[in-house]
Amino acid sequence: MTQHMLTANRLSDGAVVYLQGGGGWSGDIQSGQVVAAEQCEALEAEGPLGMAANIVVAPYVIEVEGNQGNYTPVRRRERIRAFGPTVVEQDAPSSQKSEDLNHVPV
Amino acid sequence: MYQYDEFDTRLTNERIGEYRDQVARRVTGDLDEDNFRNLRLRNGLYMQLHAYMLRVAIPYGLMSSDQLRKLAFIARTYDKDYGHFTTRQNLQYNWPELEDTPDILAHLAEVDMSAIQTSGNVNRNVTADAFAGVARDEIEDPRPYCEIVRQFLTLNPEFSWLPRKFKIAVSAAAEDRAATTVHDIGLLLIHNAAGDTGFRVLVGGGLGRSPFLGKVLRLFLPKDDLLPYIQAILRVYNMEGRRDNIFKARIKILVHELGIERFKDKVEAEFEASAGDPLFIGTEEEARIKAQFAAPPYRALDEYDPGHEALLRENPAFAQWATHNLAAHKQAGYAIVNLPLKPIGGIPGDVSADQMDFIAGLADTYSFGELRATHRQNLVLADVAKSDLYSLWQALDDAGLAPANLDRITDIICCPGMDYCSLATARSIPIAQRISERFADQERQDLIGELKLNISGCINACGHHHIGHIGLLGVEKNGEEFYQITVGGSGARDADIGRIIGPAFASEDVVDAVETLVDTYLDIRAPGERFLDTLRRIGSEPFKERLYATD
Repeated sequence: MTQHMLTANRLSDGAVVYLQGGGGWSGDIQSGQVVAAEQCEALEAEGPLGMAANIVVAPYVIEVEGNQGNYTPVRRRERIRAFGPTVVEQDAPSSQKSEDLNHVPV
Repeated sequence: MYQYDEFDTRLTNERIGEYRDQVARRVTGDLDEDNFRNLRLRNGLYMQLHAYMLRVAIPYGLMSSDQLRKLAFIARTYDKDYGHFTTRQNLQYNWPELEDTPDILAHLAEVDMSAIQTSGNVNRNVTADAFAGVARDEIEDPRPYCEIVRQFLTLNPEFSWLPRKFKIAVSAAAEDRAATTVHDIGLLLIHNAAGDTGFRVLVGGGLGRSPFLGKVLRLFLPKDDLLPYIQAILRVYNMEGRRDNIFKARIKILVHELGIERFKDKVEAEFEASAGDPLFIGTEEEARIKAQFAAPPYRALDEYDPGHEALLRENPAFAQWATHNLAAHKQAGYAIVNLPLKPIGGIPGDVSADQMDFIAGLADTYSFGELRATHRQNLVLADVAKSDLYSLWQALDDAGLAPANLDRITDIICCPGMDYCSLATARSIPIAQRISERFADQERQDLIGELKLNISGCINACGHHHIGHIGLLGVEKNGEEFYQITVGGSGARDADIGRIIGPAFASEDVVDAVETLVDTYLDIRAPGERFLDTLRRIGSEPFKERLYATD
């Protein structure tokens, strides 16, 4: 069964965020609210509210797979957004600090 | 180099003030994203996959050591300790926060820098030969003209809403190190038969979805006519460029659809009609700008430096670096030093804040406090005495900044790709890293010789894949990354658009495919031939046969 989440970039720093069940936005995809296809429309409607509240920009719905605590976006682009750049790090120049490798800080 | 005058300073500071107010209003919600977007873009601020991205202009790639130190300070204070040099000779920060950006711009203004017009449908950073002013094969320093064009088109109200972005490149050398053939306008400083200096004007070049080489608009334009002529081109483009379809909005499409002769007629008519506009070079202002590009106080040296030659003989690693990374300087006893930002397995164009500070120090010690960014995402110390080369190399080598790979297969141009860019359809940096690792062996790189490999993560071609001797274009097919290979491209004097060699390769196969192309070349090349020469001599068929062999 296809599952969906609402994602956006946070206004203050552009970080990738996901709509939570309680209406807040989290940088951790595992905290995102997951809905079935038939609830997608209601989920999409939350986007403009986040925009209007100046919390996020450019919200849109993505497909995810997996179970709670183990959600993964279906599309590669969204996996990179969720888990960070896949570039190979070197000591120098450093593209990202090592502690950030698995998670885009928010 | 050019120093801001009171007008530049006032204009930049006023702009920062406006932008600071716009950001504040965006945060409170008085400005919504739709209205803010164009404003932030005009100040170089994009929204990318993971964060905002701020693109800082480095006019024609020239910067002082103080400017580089300021870029390092910003990277350290407001970003993640690094910056990324681009093919427009700019620098990008990948992780700034929105409310910090006005302060970042204020810091940049302290050292005569800005992010003005690094995005939006305006004239972007004017790029130039990274060896401008010092190249031995140059007829005149083109940088004053770059600066004059920069000033003319910075916040010029008539050209603030062009149909699409606009890019100008300038060169004055026999070799084209500025890719002038793939720019909206390419300007080549030349002498005519009478010995006068002027410009050959190319128009309508570009990459992206519809790649074109620029066409000659004027074989010789007297240099005093430069600004009126650019004005005429932009007026025709502004009036007739397509605004109904973003994919057909660049001037290259207008030139292509009208044909160069009709386009030229329109430009010449506009040029004629605007005769008398007070836009000519040859004024006190030109002299003021030119004076700022005066040569540094070179020492009187002999071209042949016996000490340097002895060190070359004694130290093979130094000799190897010197063979690859130095270029001929116009001043006797000096050399142009290339600093490739392409460590094996590294991210092309990335420099850490500490490295920026270190390189700035080297520029102070060895190169009159100046350096340049190249369109191949490298740096240049342009004025190094030959007698200083060994100690410079030692310092670079100790810091891990002395790869001897300029114009080798590991000196890859690479866009940020899907790891960072919101437009990308595939990743590009990891492919560059894998290719770099595969060809890490220095002897093998030297055996292969000059081979320019460029990678783009989408059809917009920020990685200039069309003009790579080998170009890779990342595309998505059914959710998987594939890479289309083009061969035969060049952005140099032998410019051409690469041709697709056949079906695309899956990500896991593309490095092998590149290696097959290289091995085929090594098997069949004639003595002295580069990859590009062999390909052009015998065509792509032998390469294709090996690449798609079914056994």
